Amino acid sequence: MSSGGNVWGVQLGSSFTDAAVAVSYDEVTGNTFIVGSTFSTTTDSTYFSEEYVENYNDPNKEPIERCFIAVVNKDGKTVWRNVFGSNHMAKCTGR
Amino acid sequence: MAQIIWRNVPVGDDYVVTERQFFLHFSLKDVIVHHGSSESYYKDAVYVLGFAKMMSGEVPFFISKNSFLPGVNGFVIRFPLRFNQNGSEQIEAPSGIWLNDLGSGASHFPLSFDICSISSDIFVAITATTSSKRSIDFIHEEASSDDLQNPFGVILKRIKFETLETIWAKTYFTSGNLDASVNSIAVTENGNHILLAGSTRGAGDIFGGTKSVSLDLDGFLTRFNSSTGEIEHEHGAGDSVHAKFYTTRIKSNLYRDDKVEAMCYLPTREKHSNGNVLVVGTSDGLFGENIYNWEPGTQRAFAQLYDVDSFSSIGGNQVGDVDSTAGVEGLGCTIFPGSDGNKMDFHILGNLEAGARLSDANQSQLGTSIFVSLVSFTEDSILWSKQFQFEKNSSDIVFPTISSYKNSFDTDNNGNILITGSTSENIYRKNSGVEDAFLMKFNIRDLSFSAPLSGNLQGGFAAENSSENIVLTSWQIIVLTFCAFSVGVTIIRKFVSKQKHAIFVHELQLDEGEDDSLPINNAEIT
Repeated sequence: MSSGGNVWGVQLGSSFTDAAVAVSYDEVTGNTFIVGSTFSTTTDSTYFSEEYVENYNDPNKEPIERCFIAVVNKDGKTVWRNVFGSNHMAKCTGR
Repeated sequence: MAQIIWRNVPVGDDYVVTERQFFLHFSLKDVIVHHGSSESYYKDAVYVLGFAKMMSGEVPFFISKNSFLPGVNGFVIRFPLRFNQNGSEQIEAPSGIWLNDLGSGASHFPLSFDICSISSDIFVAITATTSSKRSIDFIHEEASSDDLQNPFGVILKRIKFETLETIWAKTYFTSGNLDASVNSIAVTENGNHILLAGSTRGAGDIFGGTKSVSLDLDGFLTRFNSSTGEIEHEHGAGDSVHAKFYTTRIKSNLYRDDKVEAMCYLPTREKHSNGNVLVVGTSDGLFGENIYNWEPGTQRAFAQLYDVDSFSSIGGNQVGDVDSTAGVEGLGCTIFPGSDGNKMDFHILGNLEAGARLSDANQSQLGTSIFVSLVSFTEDSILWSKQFQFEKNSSDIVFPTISSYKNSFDTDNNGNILITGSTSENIYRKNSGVEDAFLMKFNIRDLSFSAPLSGNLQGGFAAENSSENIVLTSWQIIVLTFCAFSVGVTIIRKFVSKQKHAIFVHELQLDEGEDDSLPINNAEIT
């Protein structure tokens, strides 16, 4: 997360291909919801952090593309994220 | 801190493995967080719109596998939100609904939805086609004769928010069996009307009221009754055959394609008014006067504003590459009351192709970039454009990119713009992947955004106001060049004269035995 004044930015993803395709602001809580796709070898949510996780790639696994939903609070901090989709040769895009 | 009470919910939980392999492709299109006024269990929820494409074999799905039909199936997934006593929120296990009900003959691509602020019901716009399934034999065999006679259609649906049951569904086909896509839907503030915007070459009452098909792609904007899904017409206009429908065709020059991507609705406080609506898209034609001397044929973002009551056009503008070579894609918008209380201002947002520049102040980009432009109807001009871009780096093997999608934009309570998308660069995270998701907040007052942790994201600012954009004629350039040359010569002559004088005095002082470390400016004669 990077911030300055009342602006901020966050970047999320694995070491493969990730994209956020839609956003919705919650006027009640000040949170922002984003949805998109993430491409990884694991469903462990730790990889989906703002910090790079070394050696998370498992060479014995094929990467799977899944949908994700994440919430960023009014201060620009990612408070939670979750992955949904199939574990069976599925993919998720916004394109 | 939020709690997560479900995680990693696999779609295939209720799936019974068969011998056939399958490949399921999800595509997400939009997300809406909604707080309803009722006391329902689903009062607060996050809704996600998308579609799933089964490439072959059996289909798993946690919504209801029984209603999944071969082809492309639209869906709405709902994540209920709960708030703890300390105010933190938690999200609960999702449920959803398939949007298909035309039978197995059609593929459904829901591209936009909206939720009524009064009833909390969900309104979905679906582009239906049978063309895509023709490549899949078993689907083609199941197509009904009606579907094949009317291969392209637009479906509107109203879904009850508590039960996710369909209240009504309306299907509209163009005359001439030409394609039509519906990219944006909005419910008016009073909940009485639906606004639908899309693009087509076809004709028909809901597609702008044209009687004959077009040679190029046109946009359309139409108003429907939210209780019935029927197109609305002026009261007292007689029977529906001769009534004036609330629909309009959005088109630039002949033979130029105008593709509608998004719509922004602005309600009004006036009692008997439904407000205004802004339609944004991409066109390789020109709307109105070509004040920027653009060449035709290059894609530019466009915005057209309409009165929801009269469906008359109020105005519009376009944003394009100053060199007229690279494309600019209009994908989103915001709209808000202008400073004088009567007019409206709005933002156009979208993507720039590699090489596009919104003004001479911007660099030509090797990769894609995104932009925000502020348009003032009060002044009838573009006040500024902000181009988020990466500096040129000839050593880059893969050009740095940043891009957004058509639902990648929203505003916060202060009108600041939230932009999401994907990027290849390390803007807010170290060691990014091949591409990462990003979310940035853009301050619309001081035009600031958060500086990247690393990398070189730039925010090139450029005034594109027609009144500020000085277009010079040949004789003006000659006169200004001469003036600049004269001023330059005068300055140089004064500087040289001054330096000569100082050196001359310095040399005189040295001759008189002064220290040669004496600063020259101490020897100046006033």
